[in-house]
Amino acid sequence: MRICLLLMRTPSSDEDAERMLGILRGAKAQGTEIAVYLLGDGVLCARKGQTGYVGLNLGNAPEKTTVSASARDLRARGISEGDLEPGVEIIEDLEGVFIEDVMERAERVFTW
Amino acid sequence: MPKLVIEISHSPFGHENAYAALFAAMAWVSMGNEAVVLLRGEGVHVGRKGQVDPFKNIGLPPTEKQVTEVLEMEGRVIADRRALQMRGIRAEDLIQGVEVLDSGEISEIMIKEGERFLTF
Amino acid sequence: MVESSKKKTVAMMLFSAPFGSQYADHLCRVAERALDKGYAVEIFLYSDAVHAQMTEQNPKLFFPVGEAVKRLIEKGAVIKSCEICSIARGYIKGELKDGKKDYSSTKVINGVNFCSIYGFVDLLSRADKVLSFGGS
Repeated sequence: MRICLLLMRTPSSDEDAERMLGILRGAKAQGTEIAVYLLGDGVLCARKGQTGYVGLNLGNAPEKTTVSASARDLRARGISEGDLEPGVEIIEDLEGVFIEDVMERAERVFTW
Repeated sequence: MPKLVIEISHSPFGHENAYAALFAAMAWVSMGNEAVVLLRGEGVHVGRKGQVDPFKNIGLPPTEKQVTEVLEMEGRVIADRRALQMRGIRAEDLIQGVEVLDSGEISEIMIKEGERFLTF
Repeated sequence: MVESSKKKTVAMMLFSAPFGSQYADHLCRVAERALDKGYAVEIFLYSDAVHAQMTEQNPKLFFPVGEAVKRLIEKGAVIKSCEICSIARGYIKGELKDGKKDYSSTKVINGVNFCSIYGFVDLLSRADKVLSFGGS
């Protein structure tokens, strides 16, 4: 199964992080593919050096997990590629890539 | 049968979210569809019983009645166990029929049943 | 451009008002790209999101949601607004006139339609995929 997550904000607590990202653990157990798309404030999740509930905590994620961030939103927020966790793909047309993934490949989509 | 998972993370009354979510859930199940309402974070207060005439007291509709109607129409209403514990809400405080599940179990339901997912 | 003998439909719910957050911006951008790629788009404006339907929006410094909504309609998006939310916020009266609901208003962008919660349920049940913006 392929799941798309669209994050448009950051978690505000560890409880909130569990809501938004707990699905990564559930998906890992089932061998699912996850595509995480970061839009708007969601791009802040991908900054490196964050601790606790802040950040994506991809240690819980399935092996086949990809993370993509909106280039436009990164630029607006003064975040460069070097500021991001390794492996985050920066995409100019994140909205277009996201919607095609959702419509053509994903079986589930969750947005926050 | 089409399935819908609705997540509520706001307590009733302070925000419209809980009411709006339950209104959608009621309409969905009334059409013979399957719905799962997840109560997470502050949304677990939606599962508590004992509201006293909210319309008379604060001019807002009773979400407890909405939850009861969703359950009567065979929708599921599930509260997050850890969120309940953090807020000191016990099983006996809940509206009859509200289930309690762990976060992991809730994630499994989201993956299995979440053909359509709305968050409020 | 996606080629398909049957257009796939994405249903989107907006739950937040424009300008106070970026959710309306995100929805408009995703919806526009979906239309560009050949998908059918149906949008439901719920709760404070009905403010996205207001005519005469004039944001000097913000993403122009009103213009985006008009463009979505021109490109074929179906936009339905919650009837009771719109009545509550003064956009329409929704009274019966000659046996039909009167949704006439000078305050609503041309092309935005109104429906009850059952209209939203119908939209959700027909869609291939459902996206939720705001509310969380």
